[in-house]
Amino acid sequence: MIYPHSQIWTPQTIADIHSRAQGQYRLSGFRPLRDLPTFDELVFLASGLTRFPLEGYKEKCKTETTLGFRTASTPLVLETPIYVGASSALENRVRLELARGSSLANSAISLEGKVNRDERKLARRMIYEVPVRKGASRLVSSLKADAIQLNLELGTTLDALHSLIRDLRRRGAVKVPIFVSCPGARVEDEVKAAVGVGADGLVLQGLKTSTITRPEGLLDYCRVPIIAGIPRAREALRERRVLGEVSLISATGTRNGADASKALALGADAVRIDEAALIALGYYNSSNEIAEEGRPNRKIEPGTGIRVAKFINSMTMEIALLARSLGKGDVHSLEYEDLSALTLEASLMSGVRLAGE
Amino acid sequence: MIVSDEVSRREGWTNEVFQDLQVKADLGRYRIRGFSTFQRIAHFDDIIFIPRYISGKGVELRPADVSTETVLGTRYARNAISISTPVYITGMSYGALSRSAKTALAKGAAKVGTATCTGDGGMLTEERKYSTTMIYQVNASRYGVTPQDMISGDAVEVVVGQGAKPATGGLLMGQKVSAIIAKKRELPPGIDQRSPTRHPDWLGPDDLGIFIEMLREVTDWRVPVQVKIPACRVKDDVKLAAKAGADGIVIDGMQAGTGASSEVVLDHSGIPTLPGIVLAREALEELGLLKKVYLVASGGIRNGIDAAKAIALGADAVAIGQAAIIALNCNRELPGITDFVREVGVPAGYCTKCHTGKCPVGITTQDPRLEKRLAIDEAAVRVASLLSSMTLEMKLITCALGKRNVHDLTVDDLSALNVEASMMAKVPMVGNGGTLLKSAGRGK
Repeated sequence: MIYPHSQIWTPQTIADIHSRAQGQYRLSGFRPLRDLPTFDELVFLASGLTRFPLEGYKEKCKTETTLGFRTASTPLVLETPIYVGASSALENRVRLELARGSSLANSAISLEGKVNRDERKLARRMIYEVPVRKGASRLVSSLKADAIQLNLELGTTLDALHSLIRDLRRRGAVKVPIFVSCPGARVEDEVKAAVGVGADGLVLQGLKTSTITRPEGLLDYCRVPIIAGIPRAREALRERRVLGEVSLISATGTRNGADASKALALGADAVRIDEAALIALGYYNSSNEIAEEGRPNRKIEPGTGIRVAKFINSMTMEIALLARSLGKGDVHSLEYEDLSALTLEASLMSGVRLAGE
Repeated sequence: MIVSDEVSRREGWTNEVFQDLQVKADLGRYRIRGFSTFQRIAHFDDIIFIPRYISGKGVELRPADVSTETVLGTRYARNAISISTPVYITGMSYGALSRSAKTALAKGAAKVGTATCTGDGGMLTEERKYSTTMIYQVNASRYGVTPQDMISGDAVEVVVGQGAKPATGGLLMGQKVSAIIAKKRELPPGIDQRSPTRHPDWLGPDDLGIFIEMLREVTDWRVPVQVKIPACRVKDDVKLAAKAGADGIVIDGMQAGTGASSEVVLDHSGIPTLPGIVLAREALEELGLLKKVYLVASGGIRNGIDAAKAIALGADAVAIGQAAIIALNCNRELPGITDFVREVGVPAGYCTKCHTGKCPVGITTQDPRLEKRLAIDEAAVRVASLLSSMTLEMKLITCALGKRNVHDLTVDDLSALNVEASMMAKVPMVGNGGTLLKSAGRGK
């Protein structure tokens, strides 16, 4: 039996209004009614007669990634352009396995919230995330982070960000890179502001509607999709003459090596995976689990982190495979000109030319 | 549940993505499969012919009056190839395909008077014996390439790359490398074969020119030499191939099929067939070589209407691979003989396991037990029937447009049903008389 329903008054919308009417605030709205363009709508223009592809296995394609060498004396060096993110909402055992996976893949993990000793021990390279608040610099000093990420919150002033960075540098954290997370709303403004106060790297978010667990989360709707955000951030870096100096990290929507390659080609220096790492771990098992409120209570066995490492390895191989087919000996040589768009939306958002244009 | 799974699907977190991701977390490497891309992209269905119901000519046209004769290779070759229909069977290697499959394709094509192509695995004696027009393929792998076989061909094709997996080498998984295949390719049996992607004989377009000249010397300037290019940077590549002295160019779009490819290039590399053909035509036009250098379109052509559309967009002929394979019984459950779910784990209609060598219908396998399931002569009849039905459809649509020759179809006969197709194929939107193209054209 098929139950036809209205495009806007879906059973979900109706249930949402019912729960609001009973005094429960449940999040909804703002979601696009149509599919958002994903990285899938961009394709690579592999080598033909104008350039030479590299042979798989025989010819090397470098994947080493160095982040945050603008002012830091010890930049973050990874074996792959992929690293893992772990939010503070995740249970400790899950964060431990993500950390284990990132270390096995010779990559890094970005940890938000309180970091315990086990997590620090398992994470070979750790990016420590702190909110831009008074006294935040004290949180950092004891952890010996390999990089620091400053998370902007609504209402963060530029002064607060500036003085926190100054404070961190004064406290001796000057050696490691300081990243600033950009929400990806007014991308150019965010990038220019962060660059202005001395950020070594930018962690760029994009529009996502699927992981909403708190009221502030509705602001996650009000962002630029990542395929539009990366080129704009890159353009802002170019205008500030720090392109190639300030690292750009794409932190939304990466599901596989193809997505990551496209993020690199659009202008990112590295890609952070969140949901994908959790799926590899077996934490999420279907698409509606990501969308649901709350977290699945699933048993994650110690040692499962190897799956995250294997997944990162598969992604790294995919990126190198595509890069070789484009004749690149380094995954960081992927560029805008290597892409073509399959839909008008993707073309207009990313600025990549439509196939056939 | 308030937030529906529809939402995550909209952002690309589909259950297919979940499954793929979990498989990779098990494997620790990229995945390989056969068949064709899973991307949803603008294709021939998105453009339509607008027939002329009232013609001013006063002569009644019937489909039988329409000519489909196709002559290819008049630029330099002494003996152009002449086929009865503009549809021929593309190169698929003996190795990826079984001996029976290759033989059936050759016999089927011969029945309707069209061509076949050898593929990346050397020439099969049976193919030469049965095929009336055989295109001899020269790949970067050099598998089975000999001057003796080459001169027995009616045309030579130099492969720069394949639309399904541009700029990556051929793949033949170990389970398909039987003793015979191994001998033919001069490689150890049972080991995965990863062909090189660059030709050892030439590097770059100037070298290609010298190489083509060498092929002409070998074949005594008798047969046409065509160059197969994956649709990527089409305009540059077509111009360079034409300058290198090709008689014809095959443009292979991203919907093309394959026996085995890394999934990541299958789905994320190359542009669709529609813009591929159009850009290739424009490149030849810009050189003033349109119709002098012939253009073959391939990649996702399923029926006569697709073929007619490709011709209207500028192709002189089309090549089919996957469609011919399907005519051989690919993805068809044969009661009492096959059991797709048990043998390959998916029902008929969903099989993409060409790379595993376990093809239940005996096409993409080297297992004699499975190969026996393909009755050559019956399969040849099915291939011939497919080709005839495609030709008939082309005649019908040509006739509906008031033309006597399928090669008279032009872009003016087409309209697009959506914006992407309109911009990619450079044909006006239905009912819009072409103004959309102007308004949608961007400054970039």
